Amino acid sequence: MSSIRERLHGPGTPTGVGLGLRAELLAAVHAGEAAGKLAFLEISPENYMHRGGRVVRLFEEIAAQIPIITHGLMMSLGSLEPFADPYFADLRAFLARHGRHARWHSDHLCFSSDQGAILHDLLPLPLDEPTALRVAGRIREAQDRLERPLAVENISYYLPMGEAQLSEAEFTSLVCAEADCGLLLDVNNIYVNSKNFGFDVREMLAAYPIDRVVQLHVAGHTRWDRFEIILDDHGATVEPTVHELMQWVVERTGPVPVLLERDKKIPPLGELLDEVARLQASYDQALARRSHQPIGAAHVG
Amino acid sequence: MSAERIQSALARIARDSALRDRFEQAPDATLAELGLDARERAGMLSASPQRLLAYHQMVHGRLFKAIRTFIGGAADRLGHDRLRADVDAWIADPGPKTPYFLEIPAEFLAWAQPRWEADSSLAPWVAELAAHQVLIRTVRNDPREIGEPTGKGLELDGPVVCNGTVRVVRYRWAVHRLPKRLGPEQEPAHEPAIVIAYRGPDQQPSFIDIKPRSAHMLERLLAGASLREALFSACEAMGETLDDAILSVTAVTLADLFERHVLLGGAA
Repeated sequence: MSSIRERLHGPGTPTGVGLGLRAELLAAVHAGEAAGKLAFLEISPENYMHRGGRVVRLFEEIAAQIPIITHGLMMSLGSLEPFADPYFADLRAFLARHGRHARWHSDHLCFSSDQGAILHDLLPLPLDEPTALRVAGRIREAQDRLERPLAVENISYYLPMGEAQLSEAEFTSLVCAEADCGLLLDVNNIYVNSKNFGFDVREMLAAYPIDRVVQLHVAGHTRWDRFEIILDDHGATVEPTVHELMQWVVERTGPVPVLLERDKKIPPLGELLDEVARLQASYDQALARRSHQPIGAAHVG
Repeated sequence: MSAERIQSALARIARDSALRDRFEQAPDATLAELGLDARERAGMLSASPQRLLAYHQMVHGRLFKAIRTFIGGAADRLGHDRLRADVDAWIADPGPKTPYFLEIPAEFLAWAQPRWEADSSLAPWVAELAAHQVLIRTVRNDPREIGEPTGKGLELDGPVVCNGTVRVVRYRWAVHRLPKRLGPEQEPAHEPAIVIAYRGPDQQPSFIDIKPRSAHMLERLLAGASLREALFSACEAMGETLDDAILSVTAVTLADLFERHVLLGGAA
């Protein structure tokens, strides 16, 4: 039986390094400054749904030129409340227009709503089997509503949600297996979590279901002194360790889309494209190593 | 372990500033108050109680920043502390309902505006200024189509095609004439104004003053009335009888509205 990556990746699936399309970058990307330098752009549909005007026009013209992969923010897969029909109807219509390059849509393994209020943040879930099974059920429902496969992203989190019975990798593995969904593996999130909770990042990464990876995220992070945590704010360049983690995954998956996330202190596009190029070089090295030797070890060396 | 209790506890502390403050003073007791058993509380507090406070800060910080940005000069006149207190209270109850981040300031304002207007300690125009500032972005991002000129002339008994983003707004203060950056003593003129708000072909929001009779007429046209119905209705609203003078002025107004891309022509 083919892996989910084989099922979801097709001839038109962009692979290599792409960039998150942020409002600050729209004009420069529209002007062609990224032409030929990006494998794809990632966008959050919620930033363009329920919206018209110049920003949407720029996005649609960009989308006609550069492959787009969609990554949502507001599905709240772990919420205790039912899904909202209007949101799914809007999202389904959006994906019908803009979801042709990737066969999947993705969102986060988190919850974002409470008693009807939407908090616009990614709140962590209890890492236990009942939660994993409940969330898997919601993923299956969401896939049915969208008539499209989903990939779920592992999040950064800053506090344990009760007494954890599973590691984040075990929890994610169980969710993905029960939902038969893809994994958008954010290696910076695992790194940030390892710093905030003191586990070995490479051991945790190796425990993730790499066979389900359809896409990667990489990003930078900063220290939040007030709360004494490393914050996954996507506000810095990607650290060398995160490059290595990305490479370890790519050596095992082969070609996948790898997204550079930058959401804070966004530098000029040229500087971001330089970072994309460095990531692309790391990615290409990993693919070259993959083609030259068998990969079997469970450890990230 | 009850995932529901744990998720609910995090969400409630993230939303409710009073609860957040109680948690900071007595973390274990507050989590017990929220129904968590001893093992659940120990788990959540094992890293540091500060971690939970970080979530409160992230949720409130992001929403506050968006609201403050959208309401522009009104935020300065309200003052940071008042605006922060109101945003905190709104997040606690009822909180944002929209999954679209751009719509959050308008949701907040629907809750806050009546409260500000009823508060005699605030300048009487602050709420209206905030509403206008939010409207600028609402119009800029309005999902409705502007539309193209139809190329058809107007018929007296036919509908008129209008720019999809047009709306008529009534202000008690001329908040739309204030500059983007308010001087410390600057206030809007205390002059009632009726304003057409819309997005033009240049994708920029525009606000133009319109006289009362014309405003009534335009509102009827936006509702799908024929030109004849709209004109008679406007005269009736003004207590006037339609005459040649009004027809002449109306013709000029209609031409102006076409020129500005507010009206697009007769229906096809």
